[in-house]
Amino acid sequence: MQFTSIPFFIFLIIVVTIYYLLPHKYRNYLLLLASYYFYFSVQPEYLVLLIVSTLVNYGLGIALEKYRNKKGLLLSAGLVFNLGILFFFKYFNFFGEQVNTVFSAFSLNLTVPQHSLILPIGISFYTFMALGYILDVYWGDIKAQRSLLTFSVYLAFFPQILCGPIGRAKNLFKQFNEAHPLRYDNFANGFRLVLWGLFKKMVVADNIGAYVNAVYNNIPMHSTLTLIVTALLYPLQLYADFGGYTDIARGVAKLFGFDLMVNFRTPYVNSTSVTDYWKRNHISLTSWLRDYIFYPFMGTSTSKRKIYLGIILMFLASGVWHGVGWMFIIWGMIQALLLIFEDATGWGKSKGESLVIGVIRKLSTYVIVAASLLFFRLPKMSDFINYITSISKGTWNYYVGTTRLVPPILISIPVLIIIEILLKDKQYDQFIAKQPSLLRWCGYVAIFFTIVIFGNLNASSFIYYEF
Amino acid sequence: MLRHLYTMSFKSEFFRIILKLIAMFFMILICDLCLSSLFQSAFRNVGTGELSFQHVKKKKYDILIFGASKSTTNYDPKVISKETNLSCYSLGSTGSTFLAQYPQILSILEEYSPKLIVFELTGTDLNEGLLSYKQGRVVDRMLIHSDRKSINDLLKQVDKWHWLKSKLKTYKYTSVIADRIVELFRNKSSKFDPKLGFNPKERDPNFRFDKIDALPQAEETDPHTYKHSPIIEKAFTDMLLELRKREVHAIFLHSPNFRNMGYSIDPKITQMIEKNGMAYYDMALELSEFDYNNYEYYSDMLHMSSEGASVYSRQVGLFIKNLLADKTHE
Repeated sequence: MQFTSIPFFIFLIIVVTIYYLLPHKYRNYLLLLASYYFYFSVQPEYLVLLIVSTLVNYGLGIALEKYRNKKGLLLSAGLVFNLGILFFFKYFNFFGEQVNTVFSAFSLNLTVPQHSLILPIGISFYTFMALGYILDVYWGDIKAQRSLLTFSVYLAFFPQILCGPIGRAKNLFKQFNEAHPLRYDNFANGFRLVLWGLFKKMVVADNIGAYVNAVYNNIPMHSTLTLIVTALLYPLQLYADFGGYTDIARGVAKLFGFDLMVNFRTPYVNSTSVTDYWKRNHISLTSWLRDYIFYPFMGTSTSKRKIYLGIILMFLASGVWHGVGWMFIIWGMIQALLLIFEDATGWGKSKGESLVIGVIRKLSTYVIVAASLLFFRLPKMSDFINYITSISKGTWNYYVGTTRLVPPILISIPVLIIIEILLKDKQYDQFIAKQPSLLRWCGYVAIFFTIVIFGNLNASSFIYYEF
Repeated sequence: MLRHLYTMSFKSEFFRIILKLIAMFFMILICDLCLSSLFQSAFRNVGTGELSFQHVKKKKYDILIFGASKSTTNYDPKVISKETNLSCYSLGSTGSTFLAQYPQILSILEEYSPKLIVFELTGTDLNEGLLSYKQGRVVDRMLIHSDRKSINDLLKQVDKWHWLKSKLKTYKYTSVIADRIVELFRNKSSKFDPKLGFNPKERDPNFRFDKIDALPQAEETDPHTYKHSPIIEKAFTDMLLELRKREVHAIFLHSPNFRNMGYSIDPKITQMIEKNGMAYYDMALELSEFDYNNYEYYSDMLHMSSEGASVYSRQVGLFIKNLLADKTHE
């Protein structure tokens, strides 16, 4: 059941209707049931893992509060459990491959066995939510959640379980215990976000994705110009895909009266530096890494050297979190080095420049981010070398791709960019709410028709499902 | 238990939401009608996004060729016309399938009766996998012709999302605009001739014919292993019946592949054709003069070069001429 499928919307209408018919005290039961059903419909075999993770972390939270003298041991148990699950499903095979390479290099007759289990969808997201909770309780920032129901629905809440945003216990526990009366504003904002998210995913991301995949599946066949354009299109695909998911997730949560964390603030259009980009992009992960890795690592130190080490550590974790393989680690390291460079040179801090300089900075940031994303998109170093070899050919014929992709790409990209420029630091739902009614309604209808006409209705998967 | 449903706040918010949803529904409906009317007056060939198809309907060609890419590269309508003295047009399109062209065939038959319809068969005509063909050629064509009940019913079975989409009138008219935009971006180097539907393909200098021994046929293209679709089978039978009813001559061909390798034809489809009193010809066997071992005739394993298409089309032309003469004789 994808966010872009008809069954999901039927499911949503049923759950929202029952939710508002039920008295407040029963609503979390409904949300939990709906969330488990949703996860079961996506990946039935791993629902048990989610439940086990919930029970273990719930128990650890209470134990951490109760047995303060053993909190170090309990925290270690929590870290081992959560990171262990993540390691086993996500990195075990990769780690095994590296060890086996070393063994064979030394002619040792040893092999680390590989498993053939597929990655549970959303594991990186809900494990980080659980870890965040454990660390918050350990540091005494929040009290352990006594209600198993609240804790279960916190980890499994269906709008965010598959791809985040990575919510914080402090914010969500409170919301799960609040009454959420039926409010028109929540519905209006929810629908706005869902509609915009569907546009981003089905019109922008899926159509660009079809083109980008066609090129990257056959790199040597393409010209320099095509490869440059594809590299510049990929960030838009990635953003529209993940940003679209987040908008739908936030919109769906809004229908129930919940406010999920803002995950993007127009990162690809308005960032004036890579530092600025990371303040705007995938905020829930970046802030998680900052709060749970960078700050604890820094302690009270203000030394530049330690700050830079902290940045490297944070983005190493980000690279590893995103995926398996050296390419993600390289991508993470490039981000860290760019941030360190900007801090050292003061590039990231410049303010009050002219419009032209501002535009140049934004464009150059986009190009730098797009170039670094090659490591994110291309699965192996050999693909990257292939890419560099092919781009150096200096050929300028252009691959148009499947002609049916041309109209949606030409229409949707300018629309996305214009809206993002107008949004700047505002959120889409709030921005639209302030527009005149006529303009707003015309916008809704235009987006609706664009989705129906150009949208890929075959419910392709979201990129971040792989993470 | 349900006290909260009777509060003023709940009632007023509920009615406000319902009212806005109804308003939105009607606004979409009105916009749909207005936009479709606007596009209808702006584009004469409303109801379809297929420009070649409109061209055929207007010119009423005697011989029509249907099929996938091979029908556009292997059959030179100009050569066939010359041999038969009949006008000829290829409505084939790359990546297409029988099911994608079925709506067009029905629509053309309603407009006029061509003297002969030629179908170039692939190995996968009845493959169930075609129903989930992501590029949507199948469903796109059905969408455009979904006013027809048989196509509407078929579309409902094939893809419910697109069936719902077809209910929106605007789609059909905007698809015409989309096709026009696509025309603007059509690769200028393409030799596609819009007056013939012919798309000659030059030989790929990098294609190593000498390296080909026996390429195993992929499972999804092997008619002995793929799953047959009852939906496509029924549509195919319906088309055969329609052709018979309208007394339109139709022949089903399988043009030669390099060294006769590549797709094998589905035995089930040949049975269906023969059962309905129509003719299937494997041209690699029928045309003894065509040297299917000559790699100069091919641009790759499956598609002919312009030289091959010219030689092959001349023979197909003669073949059709004799066939039509025999039919007239009968």
